[in-house]
Amino acid sequence: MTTIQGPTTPVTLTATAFSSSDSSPARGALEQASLLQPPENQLLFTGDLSEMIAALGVMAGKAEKKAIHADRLTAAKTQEAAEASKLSHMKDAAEARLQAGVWSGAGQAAAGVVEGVGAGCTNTSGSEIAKAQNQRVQGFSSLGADGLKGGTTIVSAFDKHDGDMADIGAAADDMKITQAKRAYDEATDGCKEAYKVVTDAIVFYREYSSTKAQTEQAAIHKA
Amino acid sequence: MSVSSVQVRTPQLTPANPAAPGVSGAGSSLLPESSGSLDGGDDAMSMLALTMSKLSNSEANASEKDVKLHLDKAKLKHKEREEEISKASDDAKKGGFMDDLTNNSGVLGAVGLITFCPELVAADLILHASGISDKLDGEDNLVIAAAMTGGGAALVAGGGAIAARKSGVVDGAADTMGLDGVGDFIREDHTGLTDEKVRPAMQYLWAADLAVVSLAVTGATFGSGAPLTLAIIAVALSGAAMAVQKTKCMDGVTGEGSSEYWAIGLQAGSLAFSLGSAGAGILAPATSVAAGTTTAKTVATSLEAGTDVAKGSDQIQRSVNQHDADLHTISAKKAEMEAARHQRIVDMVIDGIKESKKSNEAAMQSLQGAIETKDQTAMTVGAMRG
Repeated sequence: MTTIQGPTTPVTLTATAFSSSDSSPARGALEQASLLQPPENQLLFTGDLSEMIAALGVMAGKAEKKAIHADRLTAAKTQEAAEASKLSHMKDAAEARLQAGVWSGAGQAAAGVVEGVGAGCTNTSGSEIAKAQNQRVQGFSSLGADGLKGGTTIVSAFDKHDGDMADIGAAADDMKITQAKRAYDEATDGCKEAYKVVTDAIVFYREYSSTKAQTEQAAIHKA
Repeated sequence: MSVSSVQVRTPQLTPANPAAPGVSGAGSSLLPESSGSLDGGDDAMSMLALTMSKLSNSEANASEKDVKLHLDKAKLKHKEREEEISKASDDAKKGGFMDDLTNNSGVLGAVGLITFCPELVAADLILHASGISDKLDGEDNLVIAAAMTGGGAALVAGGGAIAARKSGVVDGAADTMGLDGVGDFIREDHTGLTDEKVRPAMQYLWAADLAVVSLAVTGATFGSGAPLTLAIIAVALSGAAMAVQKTKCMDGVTGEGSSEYWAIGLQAGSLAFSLGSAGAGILAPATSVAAGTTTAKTVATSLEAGTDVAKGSDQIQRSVNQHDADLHTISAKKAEMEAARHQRIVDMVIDGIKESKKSNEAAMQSLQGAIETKDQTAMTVGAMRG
């Protein structure tokens, strides 16, 4: 029994009035549309201690639920942000790996070409000047090939490092996602707990008002 | 669609939804139409019960639509994810430049690589690129190889032979002549050589041929070519031995298990040519020792250069394919996250429905209690007056 027999209009205290608007669009509209004071406000100032306790219980549960619901939204937003960041890091890592591979491959292929050019200069039957020139070409090509390989390996190493850093960033995002998921699950559990607080307060009030009504009836009978 | 955006959307959804009964707009009253009097207690409570019932229904309807919407989106994302994973897998399988060469060459290419016939290799690549190779069997490939090697009239004869086999002309002619089974015998592939069988060895063959090519390119400028020529033949024989051993391709031609002997023979030949190459260098006149040393050095350099070019190209191709695979993996991950998000919203809405159901039950129970108490009070008052 949860009706207060007021002089003009009955005040009905229901769980609906205190339930969250987080998932139900219709309930969200109800809370948006209502211009009346929440029923627990009226109970708070009746002067009846039990009614005040019930009202305070409902108010506490409601406030707790609102706070936890906000936490849940924050956790969901954090998770979304971490997921977006992880995808971005994954993309960065992929790009860096591509660059590293292309630099390394291009360096090796170019070094091979330069080396091949040098290796082709093997004419040993010409004049001494020609031989010396060939040797110089071979030396330069070998040097050039080594330089190309070394240079592109350094560039490739930098790209690899960038890729590794992006991987580390993605791993850190993974941790953030896990934390946010845990926070979300905890908040969901918390919402249920807060709902239980509100329900308990309403059950208490219902039993109290029922007993009170019965006592009043008994008193009227006796009179 | 994010969780937060659902929250933003929530207040707008129901008022905009004409199908939701009892909820006509965000600013309007949720009380029922003024068909009944609200003055009487029982009437007011009945109206309240009716309103709550309608509200409960509208909540259920809106939630059901929400659940359906997000489940559909989650399904779509799951499908998208599977497609992306499949694409990523395909890209990852592509491998590098050497894998491309291997996957796009077959029996004809293997023959071309073993016999150092670039025309055959090119023809094989063209046949694979055009998809014609799928329709050719081992015998067809050998006929093409023979025709291309022979050239001139052999090309015409080879083409005619394949066309006759494939079109069923031979079959028809044999049937006409009363030679049962001859047509089938001709149409049948007796070599058992397929692209799949030779494919595992193709990479080795390509590598061996590239090494030979790099040697040959350098050898074009050699003064004394004997050791180099022998070395080239040794490398080629070794590559052929590996290919035969790997594919067992000679089993279909010279009998079961014969590929092993072919491989041994080819390896022995390779060894002989290697020794011959070394001997040719050692037995060279004293005046050409210096030239021999240079030759050895040049051979090593050219081999390294050829390998470097092949490896470098392979790595670039591999990196590009891996990058494509990575991008598809990222897309798959994104779809997975979005699907999980939609699923989470569905779970949240279902939780809300459960909670709402409990709330409405409690409210109806409270209302029932209120009506009972009011009735009892009225009865007591009536009894006292009576």
